[in-house]
Amino acid sequence: MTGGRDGQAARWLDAQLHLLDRQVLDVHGVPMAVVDDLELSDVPVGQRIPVDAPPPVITALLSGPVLATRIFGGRPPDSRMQRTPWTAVVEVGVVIKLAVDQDTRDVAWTERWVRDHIIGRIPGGRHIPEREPNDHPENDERGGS
Amino acid sequence: MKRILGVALGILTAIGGFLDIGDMVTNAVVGSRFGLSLAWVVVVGVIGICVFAQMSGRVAAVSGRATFELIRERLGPRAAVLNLGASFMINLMTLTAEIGGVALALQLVSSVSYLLWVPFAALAVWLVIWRVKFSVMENVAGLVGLCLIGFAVALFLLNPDWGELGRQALPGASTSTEKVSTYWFYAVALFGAAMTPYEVFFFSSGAVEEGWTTKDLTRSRANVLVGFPLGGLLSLAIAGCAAVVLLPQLISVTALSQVMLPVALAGGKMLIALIILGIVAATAGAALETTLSAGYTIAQFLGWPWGKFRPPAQAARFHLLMIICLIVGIGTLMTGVDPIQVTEISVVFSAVALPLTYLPILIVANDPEYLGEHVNGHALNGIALIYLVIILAAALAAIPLLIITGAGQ
Amino acid sequence: MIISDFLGSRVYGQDFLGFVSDVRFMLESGSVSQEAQFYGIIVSPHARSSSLGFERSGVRSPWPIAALVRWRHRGSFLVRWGDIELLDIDRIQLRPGFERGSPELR
Repeated sequence: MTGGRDGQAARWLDAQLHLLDRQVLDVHGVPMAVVDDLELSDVPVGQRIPVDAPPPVITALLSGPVLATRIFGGRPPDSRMQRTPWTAVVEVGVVIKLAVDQDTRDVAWTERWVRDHIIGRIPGGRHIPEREPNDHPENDERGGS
Repeated sequence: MKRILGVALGILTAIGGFLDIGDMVTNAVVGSRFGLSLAWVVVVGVIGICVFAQMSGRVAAVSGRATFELIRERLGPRAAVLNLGASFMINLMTLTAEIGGVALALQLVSSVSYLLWVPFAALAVWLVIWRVKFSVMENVAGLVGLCLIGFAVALFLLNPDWGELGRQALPGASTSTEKVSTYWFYAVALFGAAMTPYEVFFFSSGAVEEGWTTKDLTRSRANVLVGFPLGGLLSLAIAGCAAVVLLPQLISVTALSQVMLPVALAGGKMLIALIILGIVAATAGAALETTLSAGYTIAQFLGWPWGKFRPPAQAARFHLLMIICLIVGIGTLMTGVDPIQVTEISVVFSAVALPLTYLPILIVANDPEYLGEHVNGHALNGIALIYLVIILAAALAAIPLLIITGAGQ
Repeated sequence: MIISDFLGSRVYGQDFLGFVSDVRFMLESGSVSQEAQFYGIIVSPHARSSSLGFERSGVRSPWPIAALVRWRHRGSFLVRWGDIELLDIDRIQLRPGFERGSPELR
């Protein structure tokens, strides 16, 4: 089931099945992060919900340092998780594609830091490799697409 | 020529998986102690890796995603973390041993001490990862590694009693002075060596590096069906040489020079030179495969950009991680640890990590969301399920056998 | 609120019913340019973990694994947002007379 144009049938997304732990690609098709959690809006916690209350919606995808918490339990505090607003999502399929460039997002700061301070300084670090002889043009977004 | 080079990925994966320094020595040890009575394990292992590598190659070609990314998505992070931890430790131990192996082989041809070669070997491996194009790397390492065919040549030149070798290979042949538990320990070790997880991670990531798509499914199959059986045959040739020369004299194998003794007897200097070239290429290939696998698994699990097809600056953490692994490898070797012993232990741990790796691959290969119409057929699922049972048995038996036999003493 | 606060929570009607094994969202027109609304929860009487999607997407191979996972998640049902009375950390209370829906994904 792929996303359709407006006016098409409703589509269901299950959190664990379709969204959590999925790869997120930025607008250039470069892997950016993994979806570790989802942020929901207006959830009435601990109180009776009125019968006609509107359902919450997903406001953002969250990524953060969850390695230890996934193994042992608990989760990192909200301030340590990085948000990607739902409005930036362009496609949800095998991977989740965004409309933003990762260089503008905090979530990719470690990649930028290592690039600018370590790898970028080694000779040849920014060298663009030749294309493989077998490459098909549709592969420009591989390695995550 | 292009058709031959087209299967270089499969050949390199197999060489790095079956014919790295640890496996070469293990094959020679097995030949010198058990003759060819463990040959059936190699056959079983080759079929197993063919089945699963074919699946992971198909998944990579059709979905454009490498295996470890899909393990996290389908099984969730907890199961993937276990797999990651085990795989990463094995990768680290193996790459350390392979750098040591390259240094050992270079020591054989020069009079320069092994410890001095270690940093050079690591630096050479890093330079290839940093700058050499993936296809050039696999073609050179794969094809030069095939010089190990010298062992098969040596086996023929030694004019062995083929009937005797055949008799040893049949099930039910007596294993003379060795204990049953030792026999099964080496069976598990050989099986673990044939089906080491990093082979599948490297093969599927390599498929993505090369840009395979649905049009390349035949090519993927060819890579698997040429590479792994070839690796298995060469493993058997090494064991066969040891069986013919070392077994009758009860010579035990503890060093690389003893692995080459049958070749020296068979063909003299020319063949030895060919073999050493093959050993250097195969261990270097294994070092490249394990270092890249360490990078691939961590980067794919954590969602980092990865791949030699990107400029290093666009896969910065991926490259930094591999640099750190190589430095740790150098440091470990400089403490004087024997690289061959390191791989022999890591092979046993490979056997333990096998179920965590192959179950997810089987699940993903059946998922129409990733593969569309190219999901597994019933026959393939049947064989794969049988192998999962074998893999589970090997995983459960590995550590107890390791303890009981004292690592095969 | 964060979704991992919900997953694995205990679900109660009159008695204990099960655990939240997943949360379902709906895109009304099928496009992600819209909001993804909370549609309902999948309640699994016996298992806290995810079912790897086997019991919902109709994928049945490889059969021993699919069968095992389906057995662990037997009796799973869907409860819509409208039937949820109270949401708390690790405890969800359903309204009396809630409907059990099929968890199958259409």
